[in-house]
Amino acid sequence: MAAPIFAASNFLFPNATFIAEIVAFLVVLGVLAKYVLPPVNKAINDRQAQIRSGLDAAEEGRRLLADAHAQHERLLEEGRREARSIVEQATKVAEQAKADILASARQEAQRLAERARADIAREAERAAEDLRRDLVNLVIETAERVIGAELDAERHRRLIEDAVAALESNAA
Amino acid sequence: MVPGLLGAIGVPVAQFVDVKVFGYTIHADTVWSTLIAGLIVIAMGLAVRWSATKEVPGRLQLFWEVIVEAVQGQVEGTLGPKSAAAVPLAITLFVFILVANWIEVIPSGAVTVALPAPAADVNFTYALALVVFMTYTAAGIRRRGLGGYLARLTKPHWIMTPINVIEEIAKPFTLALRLFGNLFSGGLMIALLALLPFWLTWVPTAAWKLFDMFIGVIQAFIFALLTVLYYEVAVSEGGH
Repeated sequence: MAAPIFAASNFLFPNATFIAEIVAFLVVLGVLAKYVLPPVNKAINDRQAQIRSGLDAAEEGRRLLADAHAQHERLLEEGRREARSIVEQATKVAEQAKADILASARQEAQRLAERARADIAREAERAAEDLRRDLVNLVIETAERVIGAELDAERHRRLIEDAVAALESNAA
Repeated sequence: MVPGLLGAIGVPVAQFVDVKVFGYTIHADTVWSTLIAGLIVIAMGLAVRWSATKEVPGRLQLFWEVIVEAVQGQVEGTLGPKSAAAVPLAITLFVFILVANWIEVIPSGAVTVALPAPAADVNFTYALALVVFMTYTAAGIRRRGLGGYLARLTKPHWIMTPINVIEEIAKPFTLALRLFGNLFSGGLMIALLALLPFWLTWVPTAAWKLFDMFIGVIQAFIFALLTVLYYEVAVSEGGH
């Protein structure tokens, strides 16, 4: 059977089926447009709004966090500065105290040394006095023995003491 | 004469289950395939409507949302929100054509299938194209008035008028016949493959039906996209 292309029912020409197809499509279009797409659109919009508000909240949170961070940083800096000034103050006080202590120690040491020097000088003076007296006595005794007579102690003592003093001043 | 050749080797070409209603011929198989496809689309839509969860959308809702957002993005990106009427039309076209095309994948007979793709019948594609044509023409006239709409045909120069008229007429026909040709040839391939020995036929048939599903998506997408584009041309100011 050889079907001719231009038969009575060429398959490129529509027939009454066309009407039924239009009706069917319009029904589907109507149902979707009226009952299906609005809720789907609403769901999409609701979710977009939700996402947007979530993003806004996240942004707000990020801002708060940054603020808190800045404040924290500021407080920390303040504390650091205060600590530094306290340490500086303490260092200054300590320096002062050290200087005071050193000065007083030096003074004390000087005082002690002077006293020691004075003591030594006094001791030396006393020793020299003793020595001189012993020497005078020795000279008088020796002279008595040599001349066999008692010397006038008072007269000659002054004489000898003058001699010794002259000796000392010569030696000095 | 390809149809004659195919007919000679026993492949039915464009044979429909004819029913006479009030003296008019109706392709009953196209109609029931269309009805089944339409019922599936409506059922999918109403299922989403009744289970419209806001927090965590299910798969079906995501399917709809993806299509809605894609079409809305296309329409609002090129047309602006004024042309919202094109959105439900393009969405319905895409989903309806997609489901109608995929019906063919259901095994429903060997050489003659009980559930042919409705788009393998020009009645289906002409019907869709007519609705699209009337919609965008009406939108164009509403936007710019009848005179303004017709004046567009004389742009950019009156000499172009015949070409523009032909283009306007060709738009719905190319829209319809592109879809028809793709799905018609797909059905023809399945009918041809069915002539192979039964122990071999499932291999190429399975491969072809997978490819046919792919074609079904592409053609549904092209139909919806061209609808949006024609709508855009019809309502855009200043013509070309």
